[in-house]
Amino acid sequence: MTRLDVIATELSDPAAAGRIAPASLLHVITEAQLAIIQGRDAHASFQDLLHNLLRATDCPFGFISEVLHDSDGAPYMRTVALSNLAWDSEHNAWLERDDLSGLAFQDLDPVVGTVLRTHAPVIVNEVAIEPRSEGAPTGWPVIEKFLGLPVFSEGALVGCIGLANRPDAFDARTAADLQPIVTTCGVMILIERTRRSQQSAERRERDFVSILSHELRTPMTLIRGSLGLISRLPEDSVSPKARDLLEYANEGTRRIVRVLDDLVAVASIDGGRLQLKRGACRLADVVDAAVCDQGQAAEKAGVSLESEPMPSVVLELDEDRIAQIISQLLSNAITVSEPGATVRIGSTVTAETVSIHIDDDGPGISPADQHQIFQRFRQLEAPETRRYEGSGIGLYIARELAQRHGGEISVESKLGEGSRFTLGLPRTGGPENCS
Amino acid sequence: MTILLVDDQPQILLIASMALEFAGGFEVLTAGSATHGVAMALEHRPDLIVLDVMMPEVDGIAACRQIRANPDLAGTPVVFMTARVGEADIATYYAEGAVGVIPKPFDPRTLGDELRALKAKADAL
Repeated sequence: MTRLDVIATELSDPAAAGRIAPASLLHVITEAQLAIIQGRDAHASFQDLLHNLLRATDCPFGFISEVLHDSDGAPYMRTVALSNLAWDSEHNAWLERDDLSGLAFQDLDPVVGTVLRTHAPVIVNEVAIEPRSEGAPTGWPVIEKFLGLPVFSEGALVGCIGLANRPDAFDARTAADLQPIVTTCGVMILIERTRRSQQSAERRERDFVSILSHELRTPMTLIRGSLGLISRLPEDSVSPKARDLLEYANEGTRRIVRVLDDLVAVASIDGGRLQLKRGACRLADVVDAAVCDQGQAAEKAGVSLESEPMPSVVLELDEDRIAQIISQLLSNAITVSEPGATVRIGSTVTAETVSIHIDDDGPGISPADQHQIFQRFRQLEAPETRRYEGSGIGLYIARELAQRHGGEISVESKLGEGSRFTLGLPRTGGPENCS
Repeated sequence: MTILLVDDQPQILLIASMALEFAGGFEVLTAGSATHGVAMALEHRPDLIVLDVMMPEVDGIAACRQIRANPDLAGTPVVFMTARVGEADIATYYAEGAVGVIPKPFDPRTLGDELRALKAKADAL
């Protein structure tokens, strides 16, 4: 078995050689802090930190691990960075087995495990840890010297840094010299945990939306199908009153289906799964399709749709998605317009951009509210006093779709004077910022 | 035009059949499982097969693969009619060789026209 020579910060030989050069330490910290500030990929940041740390300390081997707890509350380690100890294919295969999620060490070696048990540094200069006892591949060297440093964040043990086989002996001063790096590492682990927790919450929300949409669609098929079929029965088999009621029910199901479609779109956008199907299309055709789509709604609301002749421009777009955006903007304009009002659609073309404007004479939007209308599930009015129907995700989806085309949606509005929504698109196609 | 509807929910088979009956011009066959659906397709050689996706035992995707792999049925166009209509789901259906996707809840008043349009699209390919 291994022999623990020294635990914690006391040393028999305080004059042991091997202080770490301040310049080297500063370099390690600067690089790590830069990674934090720039929000670099966590896996690469931890690997870089370890690489710089090994260079600064002259250690050939080392690891950085996060301390986690199993379902019984027992601590264990999962590596977030590990030096390649063997440089062979067996080693690489072993590491890749767990990919970027890191290797979990639950059955901890007594030496390494001491850090987790005592929450104190471990300094060992005369041991012979047999790494294969951990299941490591052949080719891994025997660990002769080891420095284990606990990493704390907000008072809790969150990680462990392990360095091994330094030519000079490890001592208490090595541990003290490395303390700023350990602190920085704690911040990195905390940031990574926060990011993971946010991702997990977002994933749960997306899954919920997706399941909700799917679960509602099946019963809605029965409702919509039955109502649709009753509507088609001969005139004399359904009374006029019942036919009116059927029409209300059909209208209600149409709205629910629209919300379900929007929820699916939101889940796709948020999950990065939205894919554009770009192709050459005439702007005039896309606008016509949207105007046609909203024609019935405008007529029902007693609102006139006035469309200026569109310029003869061909763009590389996902035709259906752009029509969906314009349709959404028209729908909103119709919704806020009084009967007898007019909603106007026009355009401006420059060498770089094409802009489509939709103007209404509705109540207008205050400057404060203009910042909120593109947020998900954001309605400007409380549900109980809301004058306009809608789930509050239409503009969010529209803006996301515009941005995926490299474009943007903007609003100009004054209370009491109506609003102008503008969809601006690059003439060159723009980047498709989605997977 | 002969349509084979495959769905494990009998109410949906009934509604879709009635919708096509109202639309006129369709002979409708129904199957309550994917396995039964593939057998009926081999026996009756429909012009178009409409598959649900979420079915117990053999799902719609697997049924589509069986249809595509069978030389006697490989030319029969398949349409998915499903509540699973996320972006990734739809991409999968087309990758499996579907000619179209009809999201549930479908509109019974337009179902006939949609299926005719999809059959015409398949014929043009």
